[in-house]
Amino acid sequence: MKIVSSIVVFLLAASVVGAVSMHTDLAPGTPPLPAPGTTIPLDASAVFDTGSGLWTYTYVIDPSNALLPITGFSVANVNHYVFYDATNNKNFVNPTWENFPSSVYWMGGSAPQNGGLIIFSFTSPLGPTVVNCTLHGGTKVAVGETLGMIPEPMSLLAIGTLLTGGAVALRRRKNK
Amino acid sequence: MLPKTTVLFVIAILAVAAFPALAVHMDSQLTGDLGVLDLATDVTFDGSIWTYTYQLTFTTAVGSNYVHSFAVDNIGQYLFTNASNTGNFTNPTYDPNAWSVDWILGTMTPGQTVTFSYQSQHAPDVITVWATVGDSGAYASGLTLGMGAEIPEPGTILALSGMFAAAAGLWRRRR
Repeated sequence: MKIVSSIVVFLLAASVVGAVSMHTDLAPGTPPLPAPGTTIPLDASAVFDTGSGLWTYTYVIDPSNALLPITGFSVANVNHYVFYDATNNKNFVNPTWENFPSSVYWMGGSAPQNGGLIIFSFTSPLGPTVVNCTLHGGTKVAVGETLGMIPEPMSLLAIGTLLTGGAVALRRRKNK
Repeated sequence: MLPKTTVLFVIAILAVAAFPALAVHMDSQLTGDLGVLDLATDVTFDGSIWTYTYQLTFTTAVGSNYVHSFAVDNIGQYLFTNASNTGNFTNPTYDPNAWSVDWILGTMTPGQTVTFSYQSQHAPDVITVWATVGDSGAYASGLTLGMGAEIPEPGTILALSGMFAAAAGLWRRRR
């Protein structure tokens, strides 16, 4: 049991330090964007580059189940954490922190349901946590949780806690 | 010969039946994890075109959310013109492939009121349509008025004008 615990703890610690991924099935909002009985899959990742000291957040959305073309995607940034270099592979307007610090919000696009995967990304010095997100198709929405920014001290605290837990588990195992 | 009062009454009924409304008003609220927004919608007809006006007030915010976009359903993909707003939003232009009228890239702070408007040949529909605002992974939505399928024909407008003119004439003679 302790072996499993320590492996899990180390894996979590490694994931927090270097790369994290998360799958979400975006659920219907009000009014609903997904077709009845379906969800919209979202795969998010956050990868840390030691050279630049930045995390790259990437969101891959399959819009096949949407009732309408996708017009916007927003990721919670309620504490106005800094982000850079927002991009997308369609025709959305990329957000900038200087203009819209309250939101990582790609707007003004029109990505058809059968037009393939939609990819959004940005970079930030802040590590990942789980935040809310909303996918817009006109007035219709799909909602869920995905990866978003957390203040660096919180990341360090999370990493520190995980590493400490791993070390304690390992030490106990060796002492036994 | 019918009495004038009867004629006036019949004209009034015909006018209402031919053209149910020249001005429509609706109050509603947009609610969600973004907060609460009051929406006052007015649709008026000047004899040739309908003007849709949405007065949006950011009543209650949740957290530090702002409003960065406002969208009104246009499921019929009907033509609209002259979109404008009193805030700093980018106004939409008609896109035959779009399913909504979207004002984007603006900022509304709590307590602020912004008026959005556009014009269309299409009369407001009896059914209501959705309006949505969004920011930072959150949204708020509710019902409002939007463009319907009906485009009043010139003949209808002419008939309506004739009815009102006749009614006014009869009323004046009677007095």
